[in-house]
Amino acid sequence: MNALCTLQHAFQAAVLGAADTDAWTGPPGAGMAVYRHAYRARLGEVLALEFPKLAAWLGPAAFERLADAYVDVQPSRHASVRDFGAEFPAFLGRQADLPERRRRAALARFEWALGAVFDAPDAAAITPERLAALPPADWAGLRLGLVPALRICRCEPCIPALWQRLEGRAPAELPAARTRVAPHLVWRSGTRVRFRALADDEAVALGLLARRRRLAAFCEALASRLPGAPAAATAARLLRRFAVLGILAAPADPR
Amino acid sequence: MSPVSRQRHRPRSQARAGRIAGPDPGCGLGLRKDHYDDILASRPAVDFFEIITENYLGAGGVPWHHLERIRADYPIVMHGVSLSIGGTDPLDRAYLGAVRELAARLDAPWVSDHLCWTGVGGRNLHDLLPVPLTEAALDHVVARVGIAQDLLGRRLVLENVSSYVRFTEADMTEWEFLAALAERADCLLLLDVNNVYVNAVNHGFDPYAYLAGIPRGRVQQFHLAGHTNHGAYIIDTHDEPVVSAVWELFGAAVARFGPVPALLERDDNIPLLPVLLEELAQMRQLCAVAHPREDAA
Repeated sequence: MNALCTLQHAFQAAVLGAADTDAWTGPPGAGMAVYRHAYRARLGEVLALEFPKLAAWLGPAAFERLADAYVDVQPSRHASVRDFGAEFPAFLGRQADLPERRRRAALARFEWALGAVFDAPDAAAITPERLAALPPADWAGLRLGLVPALRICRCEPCIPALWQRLEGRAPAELPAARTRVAPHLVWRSGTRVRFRALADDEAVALGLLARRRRLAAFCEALASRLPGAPAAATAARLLRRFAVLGILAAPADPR
Repeated sequence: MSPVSRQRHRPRSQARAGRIAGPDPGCGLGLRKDHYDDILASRPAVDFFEIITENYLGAGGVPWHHLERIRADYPIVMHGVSLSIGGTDPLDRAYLGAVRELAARLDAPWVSDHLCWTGVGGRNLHDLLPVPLTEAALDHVVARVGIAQDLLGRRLVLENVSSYVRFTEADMTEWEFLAALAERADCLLLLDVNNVYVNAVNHGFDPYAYLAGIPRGRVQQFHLAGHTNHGAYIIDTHDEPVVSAVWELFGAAVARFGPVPALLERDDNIPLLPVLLEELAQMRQLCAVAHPREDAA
């Protein structure tokens, strides 16, 4: 390790809380303290920006405590500071003393999905008209996939409802008893981020489409996962529904 | 010192040249999401906008939707915060590739970042940390600028950062370091006039001597921003209007370096667009006084 590298390790350790060394000095009252404060403040602000509803639900003091604890244990290895919060939902899920821990982690996961969809790459979606116009002879070989601006978030239905209530600044009330965790679709339509609960067959079909297999294989897998349903008709119905939502990526060239 | 560190690293892609052309020297604003709608609705008289590179590396989504529409009417220059050109971890080639791709997509006249490091050991502290002003550090940064310029396929523009410590080991002043870096690496400089002022107060030097030490033909762009004065020291907070002492220093910079594109930054406590436009008018006026247009009446 050369001298510059050693110096940077010592400096970084000091920003993270280690003692100053005599390798640097600063104006009275400033110096390393400015960097230490800025590091925690910046990352805390980023978390508050990425998880605004969670911050509102927890209240500023409790949120700040959790954000601080996360900053202590989670190094950022991303170019964009926005990605720093990626592990925050999982971190919340591990906080044994956090009241409503699972639901708070679920709200964080839901908010993260909304943010990810907001600036996910654009992609051409297949329209229902174009889907209907595809020659039947091409169907079996088609590889249909999903647009990038889409996430499937598994949570209790009360979590999106809570998000909506927090958005409207209404008091947040949750059912006392836990309800069944269900898949929710989060996607972008134009510049608007939307979400809704998924039916079981929709969730199965979206899971299969994410693998971007040929349509024949998709229908086969769908039939085995949804026994009793007419596979071809179910596939056609679901694909049309996804095309209407604008989440079906344009087909890749059949090979 | 590594065996290659003394090597003068000239980018293969561009011959040595002066400043990068276009947009016309003028006055620009840092593009912030708070102003997207206002900009699109009012098409203000701004000569160019500057984006934070990392905010658009995702290449899609709602931010891109706005940027594409703004780009239709304004030149966009790019300003990064994660290059870590002064760092000792290997340069992130994937990141540089993404920056190059973004610059091509935006047809950005130039790409800037900071003379700083942002972390070590794979960590990003998301801060612009100072580089020691030593010959060894200069060799190190010169070599890395060469690599980065090759990977970007263009010359890099590097900004002087504000700092709150000074390293006890130093072989030169900050302006000597910048001047030598620009000459040896054949890169350009983004002179942040507020940062010059902040460091002058924090470290006790003459900001006008700083300006005098920077080579005239190397300054591609100016930055101006507000700061918070704590008495014994100043923090570069970008949350207040530019103070009069910095305007004065800017006037001297414009007089020395000529008509260079200048940009007003605001990152916190962001006011409505018309308020920033008033500040931009002040910038424009200072530029006009120093360099009246030949075709002006």
